[in-house]
Amino acid sequence: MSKNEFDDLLRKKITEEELDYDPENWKRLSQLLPPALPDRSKKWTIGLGIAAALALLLATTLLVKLMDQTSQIHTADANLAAKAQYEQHTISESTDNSNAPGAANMAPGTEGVLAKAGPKDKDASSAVKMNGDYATTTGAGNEPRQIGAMKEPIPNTGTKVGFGKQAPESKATDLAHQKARNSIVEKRADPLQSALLPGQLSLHGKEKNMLALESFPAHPSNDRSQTSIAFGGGVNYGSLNAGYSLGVTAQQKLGNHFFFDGTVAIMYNNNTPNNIVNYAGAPTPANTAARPAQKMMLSTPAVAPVASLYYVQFNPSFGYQVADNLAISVGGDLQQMLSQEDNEFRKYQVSEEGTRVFPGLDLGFTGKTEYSITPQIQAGIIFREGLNNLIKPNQELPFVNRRYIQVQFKYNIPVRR
Amino acid sequence: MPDFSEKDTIAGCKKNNRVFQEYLYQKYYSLFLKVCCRYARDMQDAEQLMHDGFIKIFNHIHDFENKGSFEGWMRRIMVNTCLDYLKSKYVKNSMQLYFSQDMSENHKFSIQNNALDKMALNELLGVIQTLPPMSKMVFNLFVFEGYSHREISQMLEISEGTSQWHVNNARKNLQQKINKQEENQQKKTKVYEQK
Repeated sequence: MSKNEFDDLLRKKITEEELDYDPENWKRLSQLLPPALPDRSKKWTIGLGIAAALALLLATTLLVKLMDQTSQIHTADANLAAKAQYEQHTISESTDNSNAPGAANMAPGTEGVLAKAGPKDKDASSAVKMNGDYATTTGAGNEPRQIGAMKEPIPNTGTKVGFGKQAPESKATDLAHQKARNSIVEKRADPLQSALLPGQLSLHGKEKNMLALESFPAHPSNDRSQTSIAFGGGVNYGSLNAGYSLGVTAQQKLGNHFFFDGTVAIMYNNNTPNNIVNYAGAPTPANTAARPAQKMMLSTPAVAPVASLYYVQFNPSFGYQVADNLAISVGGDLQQMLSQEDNEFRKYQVSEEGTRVFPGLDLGFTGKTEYSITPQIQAGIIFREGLNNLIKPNQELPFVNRRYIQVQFKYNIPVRR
Repeated sequence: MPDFSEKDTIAGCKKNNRVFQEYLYQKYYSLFLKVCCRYARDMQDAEQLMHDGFIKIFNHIHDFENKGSFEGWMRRIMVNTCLDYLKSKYVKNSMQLYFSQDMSENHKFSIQNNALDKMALNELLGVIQTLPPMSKMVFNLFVFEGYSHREISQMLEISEGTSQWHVNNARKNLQQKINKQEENQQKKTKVYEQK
């Protein structure tokens, strides 16, 4: 045997055979290594995301309140306009009804009208008197006129005064007439009864519509397409997903019992009890055989777990109002992970049962029950189940199933239409 | 454990990520332990040497510029760690530096049939560990690390002739011990068969 042959034999023997791996050796070495420092290079992006979400929440709340005030003003204006319109119609109707049989009885004198008037109408009587005086001053040929006849020009000594035109000297008179009109309008406790002029048997269609306008409440409660916005938060309880969430929910009622809502939230997951590590999701190199998945022992206390995972959540759901205060809903759930330190790294959960990967876009299913403690405050319980393994079953590593129960509280801000 | 690419492993180790450090350790454990066993006095020293080498690797991984072989870069660090160990005064004072007897140049290199094949890796490494420190250094650098006698002479500040002498004597010593071990093994086998 030559020297080279002996050397080759030695090299071959030592190269081909392997020594068994002892995990205890790593334990000893890891204690000698400097401590793993948390990577804070991109934590500011998470903080920025949270700040942006809070700013959006605040802006949405302010906008909703502004819209609420605007809608109140518009509604009040509309009601005033409707009232004025109804009053005009009523006045014109009363003028028309002066030819009715019943009205004819009243024609001879305004005293008949005055007899119907109550105590408030003392001013009316004086107004009539003033009217009479006014009429009297108009000269001959004046006839006692009913209140509704003001739209005809009242003869005067040389001065024509029409309805809506006011000569300076007739301002006081008009004010008195206005008072009289108002007092009669105020007297109308029962719209139907009081709207009926003397001798009038029923209301015409127009009158009914005008009454409906007047009786139309300032905030319609029978608007079925009601939208509301709520902001709230919740606490998650799960084997892997203890944490918190904060977000905004918009709800649109569909009919009397059904509704559709969508939630946008920031979610924080605390995974300290579990080993979640940063692994690069690189595939097995093409020129090497894929190693079978091995159990990674939780042998090292020095593994640097990623304790916090942050997500942006979008949760649309379709619901049913079971009772006045109780609603149930089901829907989908999309959660995009925020806390990736580097695009090359994915988050893995390593346990004795194997290694699973946290999906960057986590798809799930939610079922929710909500109880309205007050019209503004709601409490709810949400159950979430992850669906990534069902949607993409044939992955190199299975996905972590982020299953949890969330207890949620919301403050509701109705947006009226 | 999932299989990670070298690039990701290096990036993870640069970030002082324990998981990637452990992955690197586990992947090269056998290779580097064998290296250290060839230089150390025993397995315990070998493990300590390997740990020292890995600490240096993790501390200096930022110096690796992704040019050339990462394994070769790590191996050089490991070997240098071992050489520093053998050059230390403590080792020099505690170990016999040279062979007790000079092996004759006329000694023929021969080992018994399949003696190396029958020998366990641990046993072979144990035999190598019995070599004197200087011979061990030169023999390992020449046979396993691929250095020339000239390079070895520059590294260890010895002459090329001395380097060659150490390699030859180390070979003979190993051969003798391997043969002796094989003989002992055969004797044990015979005794067992007789029983």
